[in-house]
Amino acid sequence: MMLTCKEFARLVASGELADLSFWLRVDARVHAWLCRHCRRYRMQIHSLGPAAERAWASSAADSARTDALARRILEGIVQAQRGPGPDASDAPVGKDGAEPET
Amino acid sequence: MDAAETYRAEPESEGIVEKLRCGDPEVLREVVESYMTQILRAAMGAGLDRQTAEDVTQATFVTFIEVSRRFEGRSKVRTFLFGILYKKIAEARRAGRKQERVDAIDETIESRFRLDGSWQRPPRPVDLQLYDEEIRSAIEGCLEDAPTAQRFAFVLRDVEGLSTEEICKILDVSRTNLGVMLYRIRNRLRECLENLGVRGAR
Repeated sequence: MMLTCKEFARLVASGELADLSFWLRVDARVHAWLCRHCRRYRMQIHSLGPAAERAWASSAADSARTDALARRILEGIVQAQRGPGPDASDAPVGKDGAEPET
Repeated sequence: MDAAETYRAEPESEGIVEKLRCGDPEVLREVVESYMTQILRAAMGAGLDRQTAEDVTQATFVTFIEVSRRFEGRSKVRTFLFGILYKKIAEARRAGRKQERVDAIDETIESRFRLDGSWQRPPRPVDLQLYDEEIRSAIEGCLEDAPTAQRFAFVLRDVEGLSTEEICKILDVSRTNLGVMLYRIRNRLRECLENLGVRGAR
């Protein structure tokens, strides 16, 4: 049975397309080739990430502020480690080879 | 089309954990420098304002150091950090937000198709050349009351480019669950930008 537009859209937006069997992927490709609405839909879904990334990039890229935050974090951690007092350097858990299976 | 399937490689994290346990300040600096920007960006993408995002980022690293002794090196440092971040974001966003069982977007999606599964209202063109500021406020507005997990799934998958396996670990959900979350949030966003594209006369 031929893939419907609704099913095609679901596969694209959920990311399930990649998990499909070979023939179903072929089916999806053929569907997209025949249906311009679905092609447009797929293109739009795939452009959401880049659009959001560009939109957010400007607000996150305040390097002075970011550097200040990094300093704050490092200082905070160093202080927290010194905090407990002289026993802050309690026996480092050295061996790491044997990890229990979970 | 396959662009969404190329994953970004994680910065080298071999041996970092072991050195962290010894409290090596250089390694500490390295971890903070390698991951901080990504963590901060994800926190903001998940809907926190800049100040709250910074606080949450800081808290994430503090917790990371605290629990790094228990970290078994099974998962990547990044997966571990994002897992901590996710819990902190959920706490920060919890106030006044109730988890809805039924997502309104489901109905919207239904309404776009006929019973036979063909398009009833086909997608209209979306103008992605709008000013970034315009897109930013549209995205913010439309994600405003989206569930935290959905937002975070979108940020991790489509902005940070993590693999579905890694995101499933971070959010502690099944593959199917993640699929449903991505399906809803991507459609929500797409609907949003579609409406914007028509309003702005370009």
